[in-house]
Amino acid sequence: MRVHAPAGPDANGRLAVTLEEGTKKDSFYFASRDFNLQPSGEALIASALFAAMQSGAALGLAGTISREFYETIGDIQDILAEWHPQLAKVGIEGCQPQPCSVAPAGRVGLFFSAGVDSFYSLLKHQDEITDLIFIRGHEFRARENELLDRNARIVHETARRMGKHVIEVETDLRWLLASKGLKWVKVTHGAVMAAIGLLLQGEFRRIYIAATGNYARLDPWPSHPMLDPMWGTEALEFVHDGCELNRVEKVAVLAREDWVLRSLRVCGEYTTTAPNCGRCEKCIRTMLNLLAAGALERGPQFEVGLDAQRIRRMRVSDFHRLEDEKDNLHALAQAGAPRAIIRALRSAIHRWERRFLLMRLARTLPSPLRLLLRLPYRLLRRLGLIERRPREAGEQAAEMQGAS
Amino acid sequence: MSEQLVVSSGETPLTTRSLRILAPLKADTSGRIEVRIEDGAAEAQLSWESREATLVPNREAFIAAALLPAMQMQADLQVDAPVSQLFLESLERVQDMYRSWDDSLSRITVRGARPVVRVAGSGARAAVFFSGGLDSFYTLLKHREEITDLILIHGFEIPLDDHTTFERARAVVHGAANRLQKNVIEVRTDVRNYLSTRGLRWGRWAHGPALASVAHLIHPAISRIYISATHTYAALEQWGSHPLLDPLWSTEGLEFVHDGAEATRIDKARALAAQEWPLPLLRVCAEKSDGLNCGRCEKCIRTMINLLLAGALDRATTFEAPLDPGRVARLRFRSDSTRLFAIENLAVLGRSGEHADITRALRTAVNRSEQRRLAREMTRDAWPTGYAMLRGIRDAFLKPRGARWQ
Repeated sequence: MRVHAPAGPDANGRLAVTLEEGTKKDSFYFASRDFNLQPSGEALIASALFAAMQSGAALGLAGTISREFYETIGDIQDILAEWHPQLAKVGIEGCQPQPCSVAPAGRVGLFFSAGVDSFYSLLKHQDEITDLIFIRGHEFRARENELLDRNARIVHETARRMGKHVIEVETDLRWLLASKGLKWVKVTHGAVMAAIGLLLQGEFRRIYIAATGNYARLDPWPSHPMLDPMWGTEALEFVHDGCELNRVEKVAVLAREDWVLRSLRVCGEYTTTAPNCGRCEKCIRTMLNLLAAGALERGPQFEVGLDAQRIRRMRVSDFHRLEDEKDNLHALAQAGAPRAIIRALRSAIHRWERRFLLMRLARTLPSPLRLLLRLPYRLLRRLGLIERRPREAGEQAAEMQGAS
Repeated sequence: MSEQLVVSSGETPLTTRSLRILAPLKADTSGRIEVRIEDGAAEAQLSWESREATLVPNREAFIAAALLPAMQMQADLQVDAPVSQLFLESLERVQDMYRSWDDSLSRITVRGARPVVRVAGSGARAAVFFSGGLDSFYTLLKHREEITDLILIHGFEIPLDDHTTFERARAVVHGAANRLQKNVIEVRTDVRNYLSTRGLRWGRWAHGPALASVAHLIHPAISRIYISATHTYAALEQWGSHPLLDPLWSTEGLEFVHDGAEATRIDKARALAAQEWPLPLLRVCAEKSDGLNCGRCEKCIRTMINLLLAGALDRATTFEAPLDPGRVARLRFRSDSTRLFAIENLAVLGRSGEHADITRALRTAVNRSEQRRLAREMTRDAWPTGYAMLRGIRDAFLKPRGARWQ
């Protein structure tokens, strides 16, 4: 498989990248009106690595690449292949590893979506960070301009208030990878962020990537404290930031600034009247975080308010989200939150705990019995008598559009 | 007000109350380093001893050993001595990780340290902590060109009073070293006793800092130390030696490398099986037995299945009992780790379609363990008082795990 790109972006700031494997050709793009993107060999490898690892073909490209990057790309692949059995380790061919020729620069960036994690990293490193990097085409397709513009406005407003630059980068790489069955949320988003960071490396010396989980809950996840720093070169360092606190603790930090709370955007669902739907598990989780921090009234806009019934009926996607909800329960009990809310949350946690336990129990049954139980289970689910496990916020939309 | 835990290089009387770590004493002739710790009226003493290496009282070693007790006691560390700047900076993240794992631990400060840049000694060497097990053998073979020294510790996996087992381990390590023409450094230490008596769980928390303390005492003779991975990247858990934690013990002159997380135990068994000579030296068992491996404990059985899948079980002659399906079916998994290792073996056995009797037996053991665990968790959730009572009864009448260290 070969990856190549022109020497620089076109007049519209668009950089087209082509992937070729035999007669098959795929293309994707990165575009920015705020920055002259530099198609370094490292950026091309980061953007094409998943496609190559999935097809099992060596990745070829011309030119030079950073020696440090070249030496760690094998370790990156070791981790990815161990996490995702469908990926195989491949060779990198045709390029010359050399110490990075780009002079160390002075700017420091942060991938910023105005969520809890990226706001926490922004406040923590506000003296050092010079630029907020906002990615278009990530959570929704680029054509979803209205929603993206609204999110961009929050990012620009935050940057204006804190005296930072904004670099918007648009890409459709997510959709190309999704069309190959590589899921954005669980597999590819870390590499795409690394590719975008590496397109900026001419002027940046460090880029922060805000952590999703804390050290106690480190699952295989595309952006990970072990993986993110490995994408760095001699001239650019990636820092995975914020693993020291859980989400409850991060929101407590954000609650010190009213304007930060008002600017929060945590929801990955399509909304029309407010930036956050207030109905999905992530919105409810964040509202509970805010309540525990005594900051719900000062918080961001949600289409609907916090409601005990909705908490009770909340759907939890996996064991780790359940652990987050347990953090919330603990913090709410300590903060003396209304008993109805605590009871509703406890009820939701117990319901999902039982559900996950039963799912695990079912896996220990002999296969004929499992097969026998599957039919009535599916029937009950179809009739709506058993609730479906929800997907991660935005995951469903991403997969639908990726498949289209 | 927090207490101060003091690591002091001098004999200056300390004005802080309760807890003191006194000057490291170096007896040049015996190669022994001791540190005395006073905790109010009680006193503990830590020691490290080696005949093969010159131990240097680098303060990073004592900080590593004292860090978790200090965090547990909310006590700052006072160090009136030079300490690596990189090491001091990284301690913040070490504490971040441990505090994230257990929020009862407190963040502490190292006071009085004079930050310095540690440099590697001329002709510095690379070492690996080597016990003759699957993980450390894999690392040794993978880096056989670079590694110059094998470090064997008496007092970690093998209790200090168990000389018989240590002699057997010694024979294995020297056998491997002779084969590859490497040097052996034996270190005898009671750090584990010190940490275990404070309730710090060895596997889950304490063994990483304890390993770090040993490596720092051998610097500047070594400039890189390999710590073999227990878990793969896909199955990382809260564990004292961890790919994110181990490198944080590094100084400018001594690099800690967590190695081998890319390979499962079956991959590692295959790597050993590719060479004939390591198999008769393999030593994985932590139980008391007449030979190297009892062949009956969970770890022995797990390794025998690894070797079976690598097509090398018949060449591994160090197991006292054969792999028996009955024994496999009766296996008990006492931790998430051991359960995951069994599931890993089961998945490969299932895919291979061979060894049907072992596959069936292991599936029985895994399923039974999962069902027991679920029953336990459901009891805990549905009837917390009764669950706590049953645990209390168990703890009162049964010998706690790890008791041989206390």
